[in-house]
Amino acid sequence: MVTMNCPKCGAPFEYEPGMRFKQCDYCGTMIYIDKSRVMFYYIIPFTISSNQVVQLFRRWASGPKMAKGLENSKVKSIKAMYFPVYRFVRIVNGKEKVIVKPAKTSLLPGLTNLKIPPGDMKIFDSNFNTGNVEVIQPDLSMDTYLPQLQGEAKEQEIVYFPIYEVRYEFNGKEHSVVIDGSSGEVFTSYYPPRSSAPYLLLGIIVFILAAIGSALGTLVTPAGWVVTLLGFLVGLGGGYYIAKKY
Amino acid sequence: MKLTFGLNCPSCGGRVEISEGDEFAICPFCHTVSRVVGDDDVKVLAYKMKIDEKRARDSARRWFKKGLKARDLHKVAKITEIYHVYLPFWNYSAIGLGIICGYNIESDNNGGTKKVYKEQQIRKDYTWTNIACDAGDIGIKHLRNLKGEVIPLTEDLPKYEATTSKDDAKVEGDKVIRKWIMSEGRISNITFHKEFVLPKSFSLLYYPFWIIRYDYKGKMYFLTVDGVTGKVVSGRAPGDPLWQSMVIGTGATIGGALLGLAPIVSGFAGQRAAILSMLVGVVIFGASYYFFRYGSEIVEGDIPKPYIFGGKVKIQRGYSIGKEVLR
Repeated sequence: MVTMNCPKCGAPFEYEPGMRFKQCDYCGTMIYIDKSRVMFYYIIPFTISSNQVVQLFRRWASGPKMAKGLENSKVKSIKAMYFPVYRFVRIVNGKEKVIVKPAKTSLLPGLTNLKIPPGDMKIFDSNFNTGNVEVIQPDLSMDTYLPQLQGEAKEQEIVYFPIYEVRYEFNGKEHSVVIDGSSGEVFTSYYPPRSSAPYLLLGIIVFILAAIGSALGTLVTPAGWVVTLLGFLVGLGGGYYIAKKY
Repeated sequence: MKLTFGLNCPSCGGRVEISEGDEFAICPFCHTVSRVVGDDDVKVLAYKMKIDEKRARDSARRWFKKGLKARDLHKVAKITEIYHVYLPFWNYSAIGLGIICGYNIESDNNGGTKKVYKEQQIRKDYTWTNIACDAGDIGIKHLRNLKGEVIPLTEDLPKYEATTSKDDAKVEGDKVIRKWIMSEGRISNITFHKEFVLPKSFSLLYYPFWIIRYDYKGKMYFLTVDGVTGKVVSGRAPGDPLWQSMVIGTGATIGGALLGLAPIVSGFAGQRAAILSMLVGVVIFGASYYFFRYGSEIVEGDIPKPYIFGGKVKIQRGYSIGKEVLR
């Protein structure tokens, strides 16, 4: 909690993230909080626990684009971190602009296309318990950005957001994903993909059999429809097998 | 609900009581009339949560049974976590005016076609909403429901912070409303169009949702329930190989059969009908292939769906809730 004082009567009040106006509880004065010349520290807490993140990883890995069996990969390590970014709110030609810039250089997937994940922002001070989660310290100072920013400052803050880095092994090779600890979005630069070939091949076989069957059935002999029926059965059986195995 | 608070009169400094929704206020001391504006002209409001935890769970249970999800989902799925949160939305209401001129090609009585010229004037109310923070993996970008009971936004409501620019949102909203006006004309060949957007209100609306995480065979999935209507808005669920095989079996068979029927259709109904039959066949085949290929996970809501556009195209869905005033 951050305590501020009413400029009129001096009574203290507690500041909450997002607050821009506050009515003094004692003298009733409306107070405007000018954030243009201070920097706030915010933090988004984890809503996904480290047990849940493994299950979330397995769900992601069982997705249709991922190699079959990826969900059974061995999870080698899970690292929880609070990762910092700067968020600037500027008034450029009378319009509000929000600019997000990195506070730490990182090559981890998902941390290069900067955005602040959705979450319940809290004030980050000594009262916020980060547990044994590592808080990544910024290595780029705010001063590197301030001179290049257009317009007038309205707000500037450093936001720490929660991420998990999950390293896993699949077919003897190690890969990693970054999972947003607040909404569960998964970021990755590479994962072993699933081939579409068996799916497409089966589909085309059924399609061609059905076409031949209906052409024969209508032009030559009604018995030709048997080929269409055969295609349908191949689709059912083969489809079930492929969906399970490939 | 009536929400009253005091502001200081800009002229004499006296205290003026203002209620929620007031546009103007008269100072009781010096009788100055002041216009009430929100923070930077943005009103901030919240809708009351109408759905309790039990009803949210019931919605989730019903959703498990619906659609082409894993057949045992409703038996096996275990809800491991359920919590509610208010998500921020930019809420832009405007009157849209437009003039659209052009023509449609229609078939005439002699088997040919003719140009039918049209002119449409449009005047409609539009409301555009867009989530005011990154959507992450929540799967909600636009609101489906715009009616709710307004409550004061107190500090103890669990809410996600708005992090995007309100002015960028206004520009985006303007663009989308212009597109809606244009599509209203139902004219396929537009030769002239002009749209005007007259803003009515712009607010930051905190809308309640239940976020439910559930476990299915050691994997964690989620869904969200609208806190006002109780409907499931978005979610992820496991698919079922049986549905996948039934879809490809049926779809590819029907698609292929339509292709094979083309010669006979051509004989009876002409070449155009035959080409149509082939095209429909190929489209049915394509759609069933996509479901077969990507149907092992079912996604609902504003999450990019791989089995519709191969995961490359995100669809921006708009909701035009408003009634026609005049035409």
